[in-house]
Amino acid sequence: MVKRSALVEVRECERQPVPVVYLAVRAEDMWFVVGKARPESACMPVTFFTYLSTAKKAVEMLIEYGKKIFEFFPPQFDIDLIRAVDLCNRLDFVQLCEKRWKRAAARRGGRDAAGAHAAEHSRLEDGEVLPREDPADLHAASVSRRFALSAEGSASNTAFSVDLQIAVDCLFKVKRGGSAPSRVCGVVEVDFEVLRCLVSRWFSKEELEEWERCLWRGHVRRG
Amino acid sequence: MSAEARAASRRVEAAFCGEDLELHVASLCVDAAYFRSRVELCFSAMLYAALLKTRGGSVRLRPALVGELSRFREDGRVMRRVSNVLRELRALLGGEYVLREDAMRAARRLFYKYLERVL
Repeated sequence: MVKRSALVEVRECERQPVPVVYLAVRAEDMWFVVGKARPESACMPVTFFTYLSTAKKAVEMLIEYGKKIFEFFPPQFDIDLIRAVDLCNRLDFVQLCEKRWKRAAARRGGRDAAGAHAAEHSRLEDGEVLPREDPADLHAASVSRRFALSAEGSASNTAFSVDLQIAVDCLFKVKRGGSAPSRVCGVVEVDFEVLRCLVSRWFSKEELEEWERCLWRGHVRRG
Repeated sequence: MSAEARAASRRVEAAFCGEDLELHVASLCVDAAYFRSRVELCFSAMLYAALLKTRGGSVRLRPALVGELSRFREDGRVMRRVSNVLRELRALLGGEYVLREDAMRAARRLFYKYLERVL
């Protein structure tokens, strides 16, 4: 759940095993774990675990406990994970998600979408590359990996889907055209990249960014 | 620093009473001379005390949170040091608009960091 840079090294285990506490939640066939230290075979892991119905609830619970028990602060959590489980609306993560979004947008500007996306997900925010077989993967981004591009993703796999109604609402908002017509068509999800390409014809660069930001506030989903 | 404030600060620091130490120090820092001599420690303590009093889920980190700072508005050196503390807090919290309880934890963490330097 947290970045590697936020974890401490437990050196005492080399001399004699020391208990290291982890909190874990199982939801949607995944384990979410938070703890102060990386799992070391020499240490004695003491894990408290529970089961929840959704990944979102699991992550939310571990954020709260992570803050209270392990004294973590919002920037220490894995923002990709927060974003993947749709928790960017939380007050403590809004700014961090926006920053992340801006960085991703800047990268997208520089490279082609596939390359940028693959790079973004194979890297932690602090620049460390996670080896795939590393047990810290569990800490780092199990959800983001699941939602993200099947592994080494090409653009066609990196499907971001957006609710069309929300996309239209955002379009009206950015163009200051008043409120959009009320929802009448049910929920329709469309490919983000295709929609972005379409919308970019009518928007300036700034407007496009504003539109994306509007979408990003909890409405963009990775399919 | 007044003699009274100096004596009081010595008492507090020597006792290192732990409980509500932040609030004790915050009350000492009302003395302008004491504040000037320990800007970082005072600001973090006073910020903590101010956050304890405010209501609401989120706050914006800015000098105005600590009302007593207005008297140092013209003092560039003090304000620069206050800005540094705020910068450190924002880095710790990831932004300027933050949850009050996170801000309190961060202010307390910085307070103890600065206290270690002072002791």
